[in-house]
Amino acid sequence: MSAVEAILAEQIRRSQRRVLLVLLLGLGALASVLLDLVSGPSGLPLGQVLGALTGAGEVPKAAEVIVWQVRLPVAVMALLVGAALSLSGAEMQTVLDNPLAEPFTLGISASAALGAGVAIVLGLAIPGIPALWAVSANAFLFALLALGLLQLASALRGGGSEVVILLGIAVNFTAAALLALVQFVASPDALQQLVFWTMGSLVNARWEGIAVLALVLAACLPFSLAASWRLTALRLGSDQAQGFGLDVAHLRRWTLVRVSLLAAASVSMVGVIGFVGLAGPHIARMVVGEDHRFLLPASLFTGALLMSLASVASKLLVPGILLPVGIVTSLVGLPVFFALVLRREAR
Amino acid sequence: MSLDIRDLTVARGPRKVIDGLSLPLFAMGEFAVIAGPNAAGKSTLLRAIAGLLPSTGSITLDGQALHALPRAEQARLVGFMPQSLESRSALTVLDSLMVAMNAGGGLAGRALRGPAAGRHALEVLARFGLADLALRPMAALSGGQRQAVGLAQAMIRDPRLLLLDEPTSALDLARQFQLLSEARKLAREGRIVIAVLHDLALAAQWADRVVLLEGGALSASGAPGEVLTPRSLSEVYGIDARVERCSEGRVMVMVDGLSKP
Repeated sequence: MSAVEAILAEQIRRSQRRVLLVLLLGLGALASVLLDLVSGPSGLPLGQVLGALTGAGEVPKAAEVIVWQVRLPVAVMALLVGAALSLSGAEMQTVLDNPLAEPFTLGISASAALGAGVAIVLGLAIPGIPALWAVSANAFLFALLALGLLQLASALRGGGSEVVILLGIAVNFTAAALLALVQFVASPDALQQLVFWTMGSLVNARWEGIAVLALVLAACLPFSLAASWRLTALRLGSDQAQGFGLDVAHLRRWTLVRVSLLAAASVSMVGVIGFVGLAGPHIARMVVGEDHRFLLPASLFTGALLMSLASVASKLLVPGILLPVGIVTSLVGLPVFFALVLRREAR
Repeated sequence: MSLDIRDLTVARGPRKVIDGLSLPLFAMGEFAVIAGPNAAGKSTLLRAIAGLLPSTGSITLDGQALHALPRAEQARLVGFMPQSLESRSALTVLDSLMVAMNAGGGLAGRALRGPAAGRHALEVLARFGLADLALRPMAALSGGQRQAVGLAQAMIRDPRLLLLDEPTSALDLARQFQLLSEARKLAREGRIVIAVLHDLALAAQWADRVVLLEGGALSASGAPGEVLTPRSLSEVYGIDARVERCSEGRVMVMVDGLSKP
């Protein structure tokens, strides 16, 4: 075999390995959803859960209700939120060329929390939105406002990533300060509700919300995947990418629109969830590398897996108590993440 | 094929780095070097031709306004090798060439996918003697290797116009020789190759034409022997220099001191 053929064979072998790893991550996420479905205070056996899901065999009515009304929405919401946040983080880290970029650090989450606070404490909501959705709608609107600010800044200053990051941090602190102000004037009841919301929780997962998030994800994902070569080019430096014939400012602008929609939709459904948008892409990068044809799907699945495992852990960590999942992702996820990073650095 | 630059103005912020610059026609097969002191607008000119900086005036390739063409078409016609090639990327050299091939809309008229694309990328690497590096991560390359890979990336789409921004800045003497003789060969194969070079000795040795810029305006343009004279060097660079003629019509530049204190 000639040297060229040997290199090509190695290249193909590497690609196949990456496809396999992406599939394994996907399977891992699915397995974790099953685990999520069978774990819970009422202790349903796996057989009953599967029976309720598929409609096969005799399943008690109560089991059916628990699976369809309680556990499945939570499990599916965890899956979607993890996937959306992690995909969003992966693309942000690439277009801003910053390993710390994620919806949380760029102020999108904080703005959403401020929106939720305005709805919960001040009772201000978008007219015409049903009361059940007022908090989510407000959170989404405020997250989009943050996005608008970031876009404006990048358009005015020629799309440089430093400007976007600095402004994102400024938005983050401003929104946090305003949220503190809202909390300061809140009644005890409203305050409790708001604090619970900002911790991030899956208990309020509803099928309508799942449908909205799934739609946003389905609308964004094809564009993300179509941009994968261009995003990979950015990893070589924006000068280089421009030399390849890429409109970097245009790519950065539209990617930010996409990822902000994903982040806004996720955060408005479940509250502030940190860490997944940061760690999902990093873990995916350790597994499949920087080629975005593999990295984007891998990030999607890794985020889904992480969030789903966090959902399981939130039920099991303290028996009998359901912890807010946002606390679990940060508390349990971060040490694991650091261990991974340190192990990689040591190699 | 010819490249015509007329009345080109490039502004960076409020400052016009290049103001109304017109250059004699660049012809196919020509290897031209843009030279000039720091801040003369050399890289700016190159980036404007590549379409990386907004400019006014006209840049036409074969009578066609270059930047009116669709981006993918421009990327097929023009190869650009940037000056800063720092890379922290874990992508391999081969991956980087695949990205160069596919990111700007693919090879027009030649949709290369899978092994065919890999084979093409490897051919280009082999041409520049880089096949051994194919599976090495970009971040693990030396400065010189990165620059050599940069040329391969710029050549992956077989452009008609090749623009090199200080392509030899990180290269040792042997690699300089290799790259510049390659650049001239690429021109002779039916391209226009324009390089920004600081080293006037290299410019004198390799260029068919030297374009000397000063303060964003044309100071002189022509064969190295005509352009690089003690007088022009004193005016443009503010140096006292001797220009010696050697064998084969080559020119050697030796700097004795500063003419402007």
